[in-house]
Amino acid sequence: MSDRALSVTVNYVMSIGIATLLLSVLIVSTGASIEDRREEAIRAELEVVGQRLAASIESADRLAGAGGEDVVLDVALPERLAGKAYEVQVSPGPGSPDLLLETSDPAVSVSVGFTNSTPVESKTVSGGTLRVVLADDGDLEVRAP
Amino acid sequence: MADVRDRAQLILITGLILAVSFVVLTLLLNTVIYTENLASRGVDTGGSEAIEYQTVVVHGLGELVDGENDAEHQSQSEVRERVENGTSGFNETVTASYLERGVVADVSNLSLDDGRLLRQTDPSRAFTNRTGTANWTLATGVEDTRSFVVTVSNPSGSTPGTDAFNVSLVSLGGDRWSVYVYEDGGALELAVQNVSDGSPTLDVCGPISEPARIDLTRGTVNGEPCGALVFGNGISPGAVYDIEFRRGDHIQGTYNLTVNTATAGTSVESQNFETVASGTSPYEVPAIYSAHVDVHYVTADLRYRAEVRIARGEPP
Repeated sequence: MSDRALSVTVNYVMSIGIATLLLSVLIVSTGASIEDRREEAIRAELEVVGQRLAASIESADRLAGAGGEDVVLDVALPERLAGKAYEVQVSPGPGSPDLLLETSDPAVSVSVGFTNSTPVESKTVSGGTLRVVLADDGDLEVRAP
Repeated sequence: MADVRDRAQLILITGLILAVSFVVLTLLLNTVIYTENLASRGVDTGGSEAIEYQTVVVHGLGELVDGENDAEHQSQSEVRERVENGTSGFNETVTASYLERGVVADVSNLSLDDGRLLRQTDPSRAFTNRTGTANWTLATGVEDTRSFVVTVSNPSGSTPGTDAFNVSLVSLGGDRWSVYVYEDGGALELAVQNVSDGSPTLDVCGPISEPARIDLTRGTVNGEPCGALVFGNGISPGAVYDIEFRRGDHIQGTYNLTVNTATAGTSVESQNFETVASGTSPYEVPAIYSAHVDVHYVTADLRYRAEVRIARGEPP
């Protein structure tokens, strides 16, 4: 009697369904955790990259302050962070962070400050090896090499 | 029911997806490790070394210029030639040591400004001129003076402005800056009168032990900074001035100063000096006032060039 309303097919469909459900949950949660990790990794890397760039700008600023007439400083930075391209906004002055580093997907942004006595030109460049130059007008400029 | 060998596809596919996910995770962690590694590296791409090299050049060539000035060469061309040769020797030595580290560090475009070194070396002689006159002028129409150091003892006269020795800068417009050295109860004291002062400020930067080494251009007394002593305080920048000693017979000691004669209108009152080195009288010899060089510093990541002026002991 206990075998009534059951068939081999129902039994099969149910076990497949339950297994699929469990495995989907597993896959989705792994994916989500990887996405979280990726975001964290990008944030940490943007911070490091930003600080290296800030240090180079400060270094160029010191050289300009020491009487430099021609200052060109290359700073080797990765082109992609955790597989994502990024942008650097240089906008010194009050009301905005000195350096804003951003990726778009996932959207992560990190701001880094620097101290300078030579004016630094506002500019947006894409990530990768960058060059800090003392331009003809006496301002420091961040450019792609 | 399917064949026994066809079972467990779902688990297999899920396992595969998870495996790929973990590989992605590992790669992600790997880039984090790389970045952390980047973070722990030095961030300076050679900026400090470039400034260090420039300091080496300024210090080295400053020593060279002062050394050749001190050697009291007889002609301007001789002192120029010595400094030029010394600079290329210095450059070769330093450049070679930087090249070993893969850095091109170089000095070029040397240009020199002529000057005159005025000095008296006998510590027991009064500050009178060659012929014994107590009130006299050392140089006129001076724009730049450096390393003006007097080492004095045995002052007589206790009232600055009336009977004490003073060294004065007097501008064309009549502005006067004076430093008095006087005696008060047996001790040597210093008074300074800036252009705007009605009377001298007495007893600055004391107590002062004898012999007192007063660096007028750097503003130090016996090596200690003296805030009240600011060379030519009140004489407008760029204005030319005469350098005078007054009551030179009220003090004794030695002095050294270098004036820039490359500027038009500056001249040393030659009749007050011997023109060859003398152990007893004040004398003047050819000297280099300042040197200009271009400093280059080039590495794989950095290019730096600066024009540097070398004139040690100028007023700040």
